[in-house]
Amino acid sequence: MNGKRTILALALHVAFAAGFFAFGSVGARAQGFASLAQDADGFKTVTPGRAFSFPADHAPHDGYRIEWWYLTANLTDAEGRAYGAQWTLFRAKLAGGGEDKESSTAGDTWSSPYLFMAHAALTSEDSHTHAERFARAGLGQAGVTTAPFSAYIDDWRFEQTSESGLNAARVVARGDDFSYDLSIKTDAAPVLQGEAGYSLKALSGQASYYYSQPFFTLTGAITLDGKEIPVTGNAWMDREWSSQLLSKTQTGWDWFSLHLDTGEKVMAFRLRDTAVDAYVSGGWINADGAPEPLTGKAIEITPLNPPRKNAAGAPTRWRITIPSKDLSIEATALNQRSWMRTSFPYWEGPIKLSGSHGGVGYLEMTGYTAPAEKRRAQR
Amino acid sequence: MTAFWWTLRTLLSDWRRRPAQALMFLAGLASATALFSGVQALNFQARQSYAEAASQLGGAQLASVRTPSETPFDQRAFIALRKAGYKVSPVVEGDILIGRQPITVIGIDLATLPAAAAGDSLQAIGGNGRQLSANTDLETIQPADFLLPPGVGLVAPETLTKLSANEGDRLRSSTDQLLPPLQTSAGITPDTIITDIAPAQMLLSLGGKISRLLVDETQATGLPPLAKALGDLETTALKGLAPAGLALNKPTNTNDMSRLTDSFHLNLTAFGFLSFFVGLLIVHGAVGLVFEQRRTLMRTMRACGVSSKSLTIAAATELLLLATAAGAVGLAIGYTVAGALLPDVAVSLRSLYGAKVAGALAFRPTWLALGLFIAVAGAAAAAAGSLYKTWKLPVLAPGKPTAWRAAEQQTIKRNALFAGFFFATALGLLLAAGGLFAGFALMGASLLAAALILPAILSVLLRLAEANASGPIVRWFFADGRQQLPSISLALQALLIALAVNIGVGSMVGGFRATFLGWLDQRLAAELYVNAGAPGRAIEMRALLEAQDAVTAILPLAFASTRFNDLPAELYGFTDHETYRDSWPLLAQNPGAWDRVTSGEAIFINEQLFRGDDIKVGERITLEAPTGPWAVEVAGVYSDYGNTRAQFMVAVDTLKGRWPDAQGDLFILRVEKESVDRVAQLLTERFQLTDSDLINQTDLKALSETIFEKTFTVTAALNVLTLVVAGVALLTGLLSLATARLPQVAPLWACGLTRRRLALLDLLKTLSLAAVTSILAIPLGVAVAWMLTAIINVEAFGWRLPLHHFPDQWAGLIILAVAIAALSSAPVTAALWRASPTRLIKVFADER
Repeated sequence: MNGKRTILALALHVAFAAGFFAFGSVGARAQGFASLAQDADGFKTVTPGRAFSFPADHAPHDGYRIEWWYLTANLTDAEGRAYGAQWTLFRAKLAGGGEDKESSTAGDTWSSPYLFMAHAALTSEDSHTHAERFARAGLGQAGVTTAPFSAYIDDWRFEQTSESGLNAARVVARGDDFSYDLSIKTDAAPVLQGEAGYSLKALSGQASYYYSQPFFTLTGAITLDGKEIPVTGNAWMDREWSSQLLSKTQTGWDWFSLHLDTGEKVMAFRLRDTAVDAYVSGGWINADGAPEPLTGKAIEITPLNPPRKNAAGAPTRWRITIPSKDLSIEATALNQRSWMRTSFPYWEGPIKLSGSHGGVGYLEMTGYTAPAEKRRAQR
Repeated sequence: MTAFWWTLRTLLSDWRRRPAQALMFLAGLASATALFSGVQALNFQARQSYAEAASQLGGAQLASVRTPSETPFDQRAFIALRKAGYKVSPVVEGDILIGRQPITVIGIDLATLPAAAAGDSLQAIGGNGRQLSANTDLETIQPADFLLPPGVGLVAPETLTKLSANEGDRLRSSTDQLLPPLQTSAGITPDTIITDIAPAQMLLSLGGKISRLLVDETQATGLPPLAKALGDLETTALKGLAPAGLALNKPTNTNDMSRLTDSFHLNLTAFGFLSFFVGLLIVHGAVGLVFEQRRTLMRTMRACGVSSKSLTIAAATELLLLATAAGAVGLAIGYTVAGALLPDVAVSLRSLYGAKVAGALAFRPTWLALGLFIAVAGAAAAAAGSLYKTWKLPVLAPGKPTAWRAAEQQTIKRNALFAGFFFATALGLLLAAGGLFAGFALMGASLLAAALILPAILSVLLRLAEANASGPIVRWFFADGRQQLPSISLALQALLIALAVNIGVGSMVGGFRATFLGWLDQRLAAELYVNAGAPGRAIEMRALLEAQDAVTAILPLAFASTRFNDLPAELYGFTDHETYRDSWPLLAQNPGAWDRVTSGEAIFINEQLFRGDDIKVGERITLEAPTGPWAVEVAGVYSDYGNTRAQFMVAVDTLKGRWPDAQGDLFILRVEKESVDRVAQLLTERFQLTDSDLINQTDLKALSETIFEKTFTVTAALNVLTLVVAGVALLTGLLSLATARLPQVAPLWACGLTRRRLALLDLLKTLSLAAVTSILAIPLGVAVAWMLTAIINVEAFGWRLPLHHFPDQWAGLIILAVAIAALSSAPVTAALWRASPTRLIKVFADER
């Protein structure tokens, strides 16, 4: 048994019980259901009508069970080869109630109720490498600050380089077999998802606060197999925090971020459910940044190659249609084996779009069983 | 198959006619196996504990970052290295007292703990997916419980028992700190609590500090090597966080504890083998005797058509069955003996080496298999000759019940030749070889040689006595003794070895006690030893003490650790005073040594370094100090009994100058005798000192003595058991002789000697042989004592004791040996005493 991974998997199992990561762990799935049923007691709850303000809302929000800073990037090198990069920082509160602040006032620096987890990944057509880090809050090993904005864990950084606001930033991470150093910039303002930043995840009321910055353009370099490759591309930042994301019958989700060639952006997700039909929702973002929420029948998401029942694997070809926008596309994974074999395994990687619209994007799927790894035996 | 079955049954049933030999065989093999396997069980247990301790938190696989003297450093160094990209994880470790029980507290950070460090010991946290989906394991600790106050303290089940606590209890340390609730978990070293770093820092009063950083096996790509980074960051990110600097330490593959305790275990093993050997001698005797007595039986079976092959296989099978049975009994006894001795062994290992050994014996299948194998292999070795003779037995050879005795005379001569060979080997080892193993080989060869020559010496003595005797009964007495000699010579050999070892070990232990007590008086001349704990308190304490008239001297002390010749070593910083000059036990010194050491030009070394590392007085050695290498002259050697580590004695100011992180707030106090208790009480009350902060000379002496008594308990116990084995040998030897005796004494009875007189003569004969053997054991014992003190002890522990002789002990042993002989021959004597005339007459009817 790989002791530490399991320990931390379970540490986060508790911490992220309300988050989708609970779904990734097959072994912990049964317990995952139980945890999802928990009340949000002791944690702050998500209600509609919240006023957002920037850059203040880039900072952590105390008292919530889970919060993340999520950056995905579609990259291209000089020869036109496609890559994907992921930089993610999660912050979880280990227990409800008690101190809401990050630093403990108990006199010792270790007893913060918050724990950070970070994932970084680099995907090409034929490789997918990733790394995972953990840190306790309150020590300076990991944290998020504003003015200037900086989200960091160890030497992984996502930090503001512009004079004010989050209009330009540098994103750095390294794993055992890859590293990247990317510069992103945009003039656009953040986009509130759902109903003015209130994103419903189930008809029973589970929700999160959710905003995105999908308009980053990117230059930088990735290092793969010891070789440095200059790249350019687009990046998408998601910010989300909640205390109870999913209903107790939801088993996982399929989430898309799309950069259309025509300049529009699309966010779409499908929450699979054992009791009722999957909950599908999303948002159309015009090229000028104006969002239009998509709910109910306004958006359709269909897997084209779903795994056989009880078999390992996840669908890597999807059909997405938005009739009101004359959008009917097929999304195909750049690399079918983009499994994040982290404490809670999930699938996350770049996709290519074809059909009524061309473009690129990112796909994240949780709640599927990762197939056994060929190189190293999977636990 | 049927033929084989009946052959086997016939052979086995023969034992019913010879219960004495059966007992001798079984007892011999069982006791041999018992002692051997008992010692093995102790060694297994201890080694496993070391391995567990070493592999705890990945110690055997993971490199670590520490200060050179392994003192705690600022935890911000952890953050600095993480932010530089290195996967390191903090550990804080130290000892606390719970009641009077010393407990090691280890604090870890689950978030960064490398996979290799979690191992089995942290399985209790979380469990695995299977347990979770079954959702039955309610006792599984949730990681959030571990991370958030009050935390969880993981302990081995036996530690919980030792602390008289239950799961979930929150104990208080001697400094009145509240521990996290305790939870048991397998695979945790005894006397250790593993908990989160937050409560650990609090318990150890190490807020903001860590003891070391574990280094993950894999590091991210594109970073300079960590060792280089430590140097590069020293003046930047790490500046001021660890004044003595940080260094990368390789994983402890060859773990220090195994190496330090090697000699202790070799000592045990040697005693185990010695006992095993004595036991095998008995088995050999029993098998040889039975074979000779079975000659007629086997001749008959061969005549009935049983092939020699079939007969040999049957005999071998029989031996296998008996050996397995005896081995099983031996293992049971061995396990019991080991279980009884283990607590003492654990105490001495902890006291001597700081090694933590589980106090309860774990049962291991490998141990069982090894024990049975040794029993069978030993029996096979002891019986090989007899089996060969069975194979070659001529069908028509007449059964000659007494012919073997004539052959045994040949054996005596042959054995004398072997003895010569072993003497030569011993002499060769003495002159040419070195090392602990050679020391034991020398002792083994000497004992073997002495044992082999013993029958020849006794035979010559009896022959001389017979030649000089007058009167038929006296002549018969000696002649009969000579005739009887072969059958009890094995028992006498066992007695000789047991007595010699007893004398040797007795001299060593006695000599140690005599030397040690005197040495303690010299070494612990001061009345009180105080640990102020912090520099501020030290100043305050000093001021208070200076105001006391009864305190005649306040001598600051300092300690630091280092490594020398790749093993941990200690530095002892002292303040010049007559307390040292008058009484410190120096074994050798250069002129003006004290002045030179006091001024920092030279150092003293302990005897362990002097003998073990062969450092001479006047030689220059180089010590690795945080401030750089220090080449310094050795001005003298002091005896340092009981210390298993190398130690250097340095002037306190020199030590603090070169080891800035030395532990320094310690004092030795000279106090007027009648005021010791008052001063101790004053300090305790004013500074809330704990038992470990203020040590009274009297208590320290008592504790030291206890430690040494415990250390020798094992030796003494094995010693007594060896003597018991020899007694059993004598008893079984005489019993097996008893039936054969009747035809020999019947004619004398017919000549007019009364049964009582015959019985007394018989007893007298056995006692004389035992007494002569005991007397011969004295020079051998003195030789053993010399080998133990001058060779084995020096090799094993690094110190040499003066050789003492205890004639009153020898006299006691001779009396004990004769008493054992008397006890052993009692049943035979009683049988002869009460033998009915009809049985004696029947001898003539049966035989002739």
